[in-house]
Amino acid sequence: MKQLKNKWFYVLFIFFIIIVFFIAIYVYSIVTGNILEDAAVKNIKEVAVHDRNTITMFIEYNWKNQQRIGERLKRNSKQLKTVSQINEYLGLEAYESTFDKVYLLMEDGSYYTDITYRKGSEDPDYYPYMDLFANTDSYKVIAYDSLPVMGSDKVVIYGYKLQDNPKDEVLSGIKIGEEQKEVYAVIGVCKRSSIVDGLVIENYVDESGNTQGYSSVVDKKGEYVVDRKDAASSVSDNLFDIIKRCDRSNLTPSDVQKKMLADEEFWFYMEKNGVRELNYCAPLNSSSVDWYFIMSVNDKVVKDQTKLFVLLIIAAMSAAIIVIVIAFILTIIMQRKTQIAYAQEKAQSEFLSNMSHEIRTPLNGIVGLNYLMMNAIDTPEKHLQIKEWLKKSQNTAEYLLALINDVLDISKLQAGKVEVARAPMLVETMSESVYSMQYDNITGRGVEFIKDIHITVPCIQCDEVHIKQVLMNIVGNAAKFTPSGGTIKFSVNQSLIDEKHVMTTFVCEDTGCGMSREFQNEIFNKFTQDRSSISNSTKGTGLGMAISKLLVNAMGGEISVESELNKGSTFTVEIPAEICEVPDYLTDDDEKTADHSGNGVKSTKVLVAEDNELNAEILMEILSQSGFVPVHAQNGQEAVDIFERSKVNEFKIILMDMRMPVLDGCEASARIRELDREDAKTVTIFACTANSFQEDRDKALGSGMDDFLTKPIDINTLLRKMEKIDREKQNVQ
Amino acid sequence: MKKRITAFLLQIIIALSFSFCLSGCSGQEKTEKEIVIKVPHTSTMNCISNENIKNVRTLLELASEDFIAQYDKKVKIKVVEFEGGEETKAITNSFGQSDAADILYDGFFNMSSFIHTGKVVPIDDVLTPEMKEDISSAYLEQGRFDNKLYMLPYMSSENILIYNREMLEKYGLSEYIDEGAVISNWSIEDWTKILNTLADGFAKEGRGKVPMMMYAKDNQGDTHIMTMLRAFGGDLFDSSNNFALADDPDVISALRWLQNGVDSGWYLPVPYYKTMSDNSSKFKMDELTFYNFNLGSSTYGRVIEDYNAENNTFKKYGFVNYPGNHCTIFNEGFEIFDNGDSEKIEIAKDFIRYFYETDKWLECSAGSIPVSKKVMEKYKDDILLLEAFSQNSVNSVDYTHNLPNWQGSENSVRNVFYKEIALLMIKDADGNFAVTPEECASNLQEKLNTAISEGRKNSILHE
Repeated sequence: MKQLKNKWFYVLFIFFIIIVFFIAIYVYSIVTGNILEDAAVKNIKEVAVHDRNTITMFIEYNWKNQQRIGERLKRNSKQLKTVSQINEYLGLEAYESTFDKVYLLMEDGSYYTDITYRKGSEDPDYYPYMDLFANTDSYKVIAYDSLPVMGSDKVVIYGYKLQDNPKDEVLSGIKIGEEQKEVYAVIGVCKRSSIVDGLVIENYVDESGNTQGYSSVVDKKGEYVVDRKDAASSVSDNLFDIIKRCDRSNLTPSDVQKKMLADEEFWFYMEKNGVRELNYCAPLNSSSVDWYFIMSVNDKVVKDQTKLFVLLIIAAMSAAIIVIVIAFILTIIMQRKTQIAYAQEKAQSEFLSNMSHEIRTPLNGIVGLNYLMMNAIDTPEKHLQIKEWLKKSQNTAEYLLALINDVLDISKLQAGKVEVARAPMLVETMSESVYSMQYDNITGRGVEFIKDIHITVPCIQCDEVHIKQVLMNIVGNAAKFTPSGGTIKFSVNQSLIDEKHVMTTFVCEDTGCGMSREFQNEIFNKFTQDRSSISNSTKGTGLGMAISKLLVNAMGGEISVESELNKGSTFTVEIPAEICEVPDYLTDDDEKTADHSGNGVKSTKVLVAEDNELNAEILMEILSQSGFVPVHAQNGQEAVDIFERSKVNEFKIILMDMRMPVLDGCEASARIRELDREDAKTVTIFACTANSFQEDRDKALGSGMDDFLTKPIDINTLLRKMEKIDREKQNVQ
Repeated sequence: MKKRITAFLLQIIIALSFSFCLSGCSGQEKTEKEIVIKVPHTSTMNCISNENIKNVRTLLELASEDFIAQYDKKVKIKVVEFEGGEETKAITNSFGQSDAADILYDGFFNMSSFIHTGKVVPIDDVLTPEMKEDISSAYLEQGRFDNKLYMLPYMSSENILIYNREMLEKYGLSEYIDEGAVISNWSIEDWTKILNTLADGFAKEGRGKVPMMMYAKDNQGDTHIMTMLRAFGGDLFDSSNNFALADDPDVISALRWLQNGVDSGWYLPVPYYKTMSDNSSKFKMDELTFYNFNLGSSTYGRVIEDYNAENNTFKKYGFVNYPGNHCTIFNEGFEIFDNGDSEKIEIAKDFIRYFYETDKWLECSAGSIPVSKKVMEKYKDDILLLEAFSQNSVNSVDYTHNLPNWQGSENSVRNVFYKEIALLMIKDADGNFAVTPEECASNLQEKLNTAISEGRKNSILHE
């Protein structure tokens, strides 16, 4: 639960960081965006001021050129008599100057060009250039879409007054032509493209090379003197019409015109087809020019600059935050790994310690019982007591064996592989056995141990060893954690699932220390023990409940616990199983034991292949006491040889150890089966081995052996099986 | 579990970052395609079927509106005019930019160079069987390179000279005037006499009149001035389609004849700094006798007025081939450019196809010489001088030979030519010409052939 809370804490913490990050980015991008937009706008204005000054200088430069034309004209005026002479003179002036055309406006309004002379308004090709100077005293510049003598070109006309120019009086009085009229002004004509070239804003070119900004010059009527955007176009437009046609603008055309008439410097924006354009407008800083300079920059330029910066910030912050989050996650992972490793190490250490304790405890019992029995062996009145001690010793040894099996099974359990044997089991016998095995342990602690066994189906197909292991574990735990004066109740009930299956429910209810809710959730995990004050004194492997759950689950059952701290716990184990008949060998142990005392034995010869001298001796003795005639072979090869030399059917049973020098049991069995003699195929071969895994069983049976007995060998089981075989073979004979 | 949580968080971070970036980066919706049609401002029209159409820009704007209305895709068409002679700025310099031309309407001699940039797409697939049947193959051939059609002709023009017959009559030159809708042919001697007589007369008038058009300020002289280099019989080209001028005495004679015109007062003062527009203005002011003319000229209206004013006879104007009795024929029509958007190319093709398949737009070519046989058949009697032009076509010369780099680059044929002609006309401070005719011929040959050679070397045709 704590871990779960921690996980949610980490998740929420990281989400919190992310949210804070995005809020920070959002706020920062807005603030930065505004700052950068202001900076970009200022930059645009700086460029615009530069361009505006360039244009102004360009215009003033042309006026200066006109002044020089006037000066040359004054020097050459006497030679200019005929129209042709004046045409040629003006052609040469145009050729030498910055103008495409140079005209001379005469005092009577007539004018000379480089190709003609226009005299008066009755002439259809006459143009009233005199009107240019209506509102100015010395200079003028104005744009025209076309002039009669300039064809269809869009032009800019510069006027420089010679007659009575208050700023340049020396050029007054120049007279030319046959009629010696005074020259009123010099007119220079340029194509508008001459200005256009000075209006390219190199700063605002996007990645594709497209200009995103351009300068224009308009007059105060909104007519474009130069429209840089459509420089190649001859089609004129009007600024105010453009504003009218746009989708939206923050200023109306009349607003713009009012500001222009007031010579204000101002900004406005226009948006059309999703393209937003910022326009900086400023009057050209010359009193003789009624033009407005406009720099138009695609809003994209500002946004791009802002976006780039913001994206860089986002990228940098994202990288930082990702690094922080990753570091945080890695720290958590490392911390958790360290904790787990520490816990595992500690659990393993405790496990070894506990295992040692768990193994030593029953061993101590066995040793103690042996000591008692040795002392009492010569006291006839103690024989009943000895018998009781032997029974306890055997039970304890069996428990020890089961415990060792558990330990051996741990690796498989941890890998998720649990082997479940299916064999007939007497439920009541098994339950009584558990009760009996735990009785002294529990009652010895001053705890009342109550059994409540209600069996409706006596025998079921299941894994007795594992069930007993689970129950011993549960009851054993109850014993550990129930203080003196408490009660432990062990109940067994059955209920039919269907005709062939029964659910056997084992319940162990104690009045012990109970468990916290957190521990109830963890109890079936490996290496888990409650560290409550009561249980500190009790030690176990810590694997018990984990093994129990795995085993129960492997058998198709369920294990659960209900517990309340300081009040007690109730463990319930439910095992579904197939109902089976009670086999003959599962009769009363005492009777079976009596049967193995040697009565009725038919002196059957048994070949015992065992390399361990002690085990061989014990086995030989047991078999001898049971009426069998054992013959010892020290290895597999010797067993094969003895069997080969024996008479047919001399040996009915062979007990074959699987691991032996020279020739192992499996190979020896295979060779025996291959012998060319009548009993080679019929002699019963038992595998006797300490290897208890399924693959060992499979290997043994695969080599020709008939049955599999694990060490330490359950003598009763062995003898039962041997006697059964012996009887069968006797009957056959 | 731990891995899942970590992966989950990382996914969220990445997803949020990505979505944030996307929301910041995107925001521009896909807009409708805009097709840019460019047309020179000088493309005037004398449209018989629709008197409101005075230039090609208006024609294309009206046709665009109709096309958009019936087209199944949402498109915009922008018709942009550019200054005559500014093809380089309007077309070449805008390659790869947002205002790049998708369609160009212009004279073939201006357009041919763009084909060699690899930007002009073949438009054979625009031609329907009906169009192939309707348009004379001779016209189509002029638009073919490497067996692919790159330029689709719309109308054709035949360049000759128009003259002010009143001026000839005034100075006793009536004998050279042919009455009626006739295009005259005069010998060089006749030309020399006429021009000298007029120049002398005008000088005495003192009003600045001149007899002959001449201009070398810009590159507009390749059609007309270059044709006058044939006045003495020179062909200008050798069998390899290179200029052969330096060793051709006829060409040198022509250059000398043209150069002498400066001293003889034939041209506007400072002819090397005059434009075709200057000469046009001068002619319209009745101060220039001879000027260029074709059925698409802006003076065509005046010609019709003159013809209609007095019993279908010409009182003010007459018509004559260029000295040497040559005329030039050139087509006007369409090219489609590949600006990297195949969808726009298809739209452009659809527009052109629609334009040719719609009678009212095809018939606007009537006024000049329509390339459409059916338009010609329908309007032939309504086009003044059409018959005369038709008969005069035998005098036409192929002045461009469809050579690459005719225009567009700084050292194109057009740009080289006018500068050398300007030099031919310029005098130094001592009153001597800057170059002799021989030097001019030699320089022209060398520089023009260099231009062609570079054009051939750099030629890339769009597949």
